[in-house]
Amino acid sequence: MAAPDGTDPIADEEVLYRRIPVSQNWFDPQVDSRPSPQAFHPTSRDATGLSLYRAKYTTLEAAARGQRGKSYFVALLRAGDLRAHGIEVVPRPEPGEPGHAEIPGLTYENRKSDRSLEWKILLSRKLCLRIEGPFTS
Amino acid sequence: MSTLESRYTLSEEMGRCVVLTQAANEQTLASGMQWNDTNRSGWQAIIDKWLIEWGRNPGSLEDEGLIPPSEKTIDLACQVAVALRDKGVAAPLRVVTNGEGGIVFEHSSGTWFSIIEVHPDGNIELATFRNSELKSRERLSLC
Repeated sequence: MAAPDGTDPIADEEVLYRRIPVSQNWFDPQVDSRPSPQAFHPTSRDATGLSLYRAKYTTLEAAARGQRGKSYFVALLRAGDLRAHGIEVVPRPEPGEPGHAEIPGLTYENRKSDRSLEWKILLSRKLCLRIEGPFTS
Repeated sequence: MSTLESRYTLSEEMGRCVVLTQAANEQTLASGMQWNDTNRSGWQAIIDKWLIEWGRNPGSLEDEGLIPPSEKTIDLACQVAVALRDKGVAAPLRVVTNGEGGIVFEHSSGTWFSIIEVHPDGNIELATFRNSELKSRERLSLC
């Protein structure tokens, strides 16, 4: 059951969303059914962990929301699959975004480490269940 | 513009990458000549469709929280692409931005995956993975 403030632990069977901008060519179904590892590259906004959204708290369309006029895909992941590969995911609710979650082991600071590179490959090539969209903001 | 003149030749270490990639791909093709044509046109499509277009329209890469590559980085990525194309390296699966001013060529072959990343400071890096496990990571240079 979802806690209204999003602090409840993330269950293994929970589905998580990761937004992927169309503009960067990180996913093209005509080229490959899997996204580029860059879709999981932390930006300067990911200081405490790579941002994800919990499906139980939000819709695909809401998870895809970004810069006005731009389009975004949404990658679907399962929490238990990530944990089975040593990738922890934790709730990190934000004001107005109770479903916000993070991968604390994948941050802007450690983005160039060997482990971060491997995790990006894992997330894109092995753990991504499917991609939905694109959705226009 | 469909063709760029290469101002560079490949360094020894990038040459090794070329040989490995080419060997892996040649096994799956009946004709070396066909492979060369397909491969060359694949690189050319990457250059024309993506790199040149990004150079012409950098605004298309603007997105929240992401830094688009500069003209200088796009130019360097073009030089890398031309050098690899002319050396017979397999065409990449795709070329993407890295979100912080760099450009990445991605190659995929069975369980192998490799990336050649052109950084905004001019550094070029090759990383190779097998079954998502990092196998090698090295700095490359254009002579």
